[in-house]
Amino acid sequence: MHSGWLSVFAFLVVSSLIGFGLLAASRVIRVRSKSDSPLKHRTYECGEEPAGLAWMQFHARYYVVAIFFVLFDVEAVFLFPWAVVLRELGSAAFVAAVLFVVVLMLGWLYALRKEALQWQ
Amino acid sequence: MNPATQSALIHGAVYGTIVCLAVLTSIAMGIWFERKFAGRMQSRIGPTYTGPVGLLQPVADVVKLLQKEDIIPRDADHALFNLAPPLAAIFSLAAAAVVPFSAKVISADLDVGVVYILGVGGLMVVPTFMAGWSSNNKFALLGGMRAIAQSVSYGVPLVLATMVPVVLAGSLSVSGIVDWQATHHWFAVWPILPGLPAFLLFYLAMLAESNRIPFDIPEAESELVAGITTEYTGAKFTLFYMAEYVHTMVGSAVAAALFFGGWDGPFAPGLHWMVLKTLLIFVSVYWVRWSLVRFRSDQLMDLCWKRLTPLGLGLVFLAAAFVQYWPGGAR
Amino acid sequence: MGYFIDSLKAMATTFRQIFRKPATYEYPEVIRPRAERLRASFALPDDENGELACIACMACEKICPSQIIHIKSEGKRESPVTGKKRQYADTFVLDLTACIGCELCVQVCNSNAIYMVREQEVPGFEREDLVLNLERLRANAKSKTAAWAKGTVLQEMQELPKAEKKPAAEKKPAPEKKPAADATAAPPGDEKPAPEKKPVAEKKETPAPAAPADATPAAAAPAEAAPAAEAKAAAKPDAEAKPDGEAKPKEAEPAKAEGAKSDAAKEASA
Repeated sequence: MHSGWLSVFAFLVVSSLIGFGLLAASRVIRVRSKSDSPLKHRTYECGEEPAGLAWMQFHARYYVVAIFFVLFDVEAVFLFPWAVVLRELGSAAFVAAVLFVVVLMLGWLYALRKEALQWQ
Repeated sequence: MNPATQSALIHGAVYGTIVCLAVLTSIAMGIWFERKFAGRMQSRIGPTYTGPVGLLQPVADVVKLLQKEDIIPRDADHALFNLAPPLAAIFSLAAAAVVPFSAKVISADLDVGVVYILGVGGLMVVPTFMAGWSSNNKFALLGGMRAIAQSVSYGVPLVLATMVPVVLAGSLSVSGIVDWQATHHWFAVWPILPGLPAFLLFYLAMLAESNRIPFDIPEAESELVAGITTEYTGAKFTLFYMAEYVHTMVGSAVAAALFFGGWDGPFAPGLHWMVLKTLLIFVSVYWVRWSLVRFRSDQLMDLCWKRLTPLGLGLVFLAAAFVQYWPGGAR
Repeated sequence: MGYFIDSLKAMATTFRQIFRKPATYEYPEVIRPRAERLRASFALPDDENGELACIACMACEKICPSQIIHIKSEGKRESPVTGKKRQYADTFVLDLTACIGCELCVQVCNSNAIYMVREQEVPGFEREDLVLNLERLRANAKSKTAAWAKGTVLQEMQELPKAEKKPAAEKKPAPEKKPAADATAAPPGDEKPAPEKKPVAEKKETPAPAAPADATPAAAAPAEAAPAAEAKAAAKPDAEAKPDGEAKPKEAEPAKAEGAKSDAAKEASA
């Protein structure tokens, strides 16, 4: 039952070893510069003086995308168990899921008409 | 530690090592092949000087990159900045854990393998945004924001496309889906109506998730320098670069398993078929990459939310209808 | 949908490219065919006595638009070969990194002491690798093939047509014809017209006053030759109708002469 997840854990350990191992390998073989200029550690802004920090407010449209994602992903979470047991449950489950998605798509249509899906 | 736990851990570690190294080796060769392939597409010849026909070019690239000086911007958030690249590599490799490379070569045969793949694939957003935010660079931040918007949006068609084989096979386990295809038909072939469009949908979403042309808006080197990797040098850049290729390679493997019957095929052992299918899809990604141009941001979002998402839902219900009402569809 | 069809077309295009011959020449091993008039570097040849031909007259250093030639000479001294006193270029530095390839230095050289060569210098790792000194320039003269404009070719091309001799040709065409033809046949420059038929053309125009001096300014401007040739037919009756006018024939007649000349040149080249 749990053996699959233990194997996944072992796999993740191996892939972490590869990820961090590469960093460690580079730590051994990489070049170290003798002179360390502060200019080298400045944020890259095409050669200009960096104007302020990049940690600033950002456009709200990304937030809208995140909300839509949550909406549709939760819907997918509901659909996955349905997909597995569909053939046991029969037509009733099919119709129920169709109704569920129709309601969801009404919301999608509303968002479309409100131009919330528009990337402006 | 009881013996069952022990054997599961050893199984995972041994196959994990094999699979990880195989994936890394094949992307090294894949990079070489891509450069040759792209070269020939543009009437060039690609790398020639490193080894016979330039075969050692990826090795030379990696060694060069690892030797480079490690520069961390003064204004960056050091902890996040350093953590993001290895995380990207780990998450991109992690999905390979449940991909059956043959009937036996599978690191972890999860009964919810498909959900695991989607979950780990979704996690790629985290290191991407860590890198974009912690660099404290405007290009990196823009790239990170775009990458999130894109990955998150295309996660929806990806999930819906993945649901088609799940509905058709009635299983959430990747090896279960492959078994079903081995005893019935490859889903890209039959039922062709939800099958083939679902594969194309999966393919598009996979391109978008791994930020490949024509969906490389997060990198968009003509506008954003190098996107999230702007401030990264040496080994950390290598890890991001590697993660991108691994993501593509694992995505190709998943596509081969879900839609093209995985290790199923005549004459040769299953492993050969799986590798062949994976590599064909992998190469096609580069074929697309060197042929098409980049989308605009708004086109990308329109395509996802206005076209692909309803299309994906339609395909899922087509598949469900096939299972329910097509004579023999449920067997 | 249209986008996907176009994408497939694009992919078909790139796929077809795979089977085409690559355009790459792997440079050091394979050298691609060079253009006929390619000129890439410089050479300082020896004169007939086996000495450096350059006499450090500084003409090339002065004319060079990018000022990349620097010559130093330690004055006149006796030549070990001929025993005559002459000047030598003791250092000659040419910075190829800034050369624009105008070939003016070759044009102004009166002693044929510099010419351009067809083969490029080997790419270097430092800027200094492309600064040519006297030794490398002399070595180039031995190892590399000269571009087409060696010697005095360019100077001859730039010379004005021998306009002063034309009146003479008008009066006694027979003796003038031959030397003129010989002189123009020697240089390969094709702009120089062969004035063989010119006397014939002028003979028809005998009624026109056509002071010989008037023919010279127009003849010295060969650029007008082509339009003049087209205008020939129209100009001819005009000139005959007004034999008294001074200005008109002056314009029309040289034009005719030039037209005839260019016709003659075409025939000669054909």
